[in-house]
Amino acid sequence: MSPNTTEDITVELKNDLSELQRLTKVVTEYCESSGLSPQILFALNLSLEEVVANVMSYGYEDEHEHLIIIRINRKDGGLEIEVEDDGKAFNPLEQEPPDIDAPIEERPIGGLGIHLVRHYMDALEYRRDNDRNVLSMKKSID
Amino acid sequence: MEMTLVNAGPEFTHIALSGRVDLKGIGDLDWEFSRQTVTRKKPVLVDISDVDYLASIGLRMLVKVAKALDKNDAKVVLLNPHPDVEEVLRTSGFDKIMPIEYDYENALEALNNPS
Repeated sequence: MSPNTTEDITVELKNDLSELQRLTKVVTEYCESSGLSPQILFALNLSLEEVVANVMSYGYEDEHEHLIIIRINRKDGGLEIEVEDDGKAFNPLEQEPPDIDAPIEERPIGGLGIHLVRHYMDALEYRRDNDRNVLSMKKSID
Repeated sequence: MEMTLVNAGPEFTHIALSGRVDLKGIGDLDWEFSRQTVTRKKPVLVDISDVDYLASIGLRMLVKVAKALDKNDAKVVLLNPHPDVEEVLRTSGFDKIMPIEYDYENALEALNNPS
């Protein structure tokens, strides 16, 4: 398959942290079959793991099974990635950026996931759509 | 992820991590990592040469130990990260709270330097 004809993919995950391994596997296979670089694979895996683990860990207040939908589309020389969930309304982009110059005694334990996603992705956008959270991410692959 | 206690000497603790330091990889090793390092109250050399992936959960594990040891004036020094892993560390400002070194001798020196 040539890099320009790779089909878009959709992955549905249950809200169970054990599903993250399957996500990594699917994303790795997608990047490898699309001829994407190891750096893009690293950025994509890390960003998706951070976003999806956040949803699974904090998005749900009940014990029911929920589906988190991940779409990856190749568009205009880049990747468009969407993470959609039916958890409680939460805009991760409202989170204050961490102070990465703070001395060790002032460093919080945690709070770096979205900071990393912002670093590795080129654009991020959040919307609440029909009681669902949709986080869109763009990554240039040039 | 795998964790190996290389040396628990009187001067410092030397630990090697390898594999994927992510949610799945860490599992119960988070607790074990704290136990092997914080309880000894010695500076810690963490050899991460063979870590090929580091997610925020791994940063959490490292900063937790570094903060606890800081109370005993003991440092954490990271040895020889893969470039992808180093980018995660620097993006998070970890190079400012735990020195990153590329060879063993320099790492030993950094362990003993005052902050």
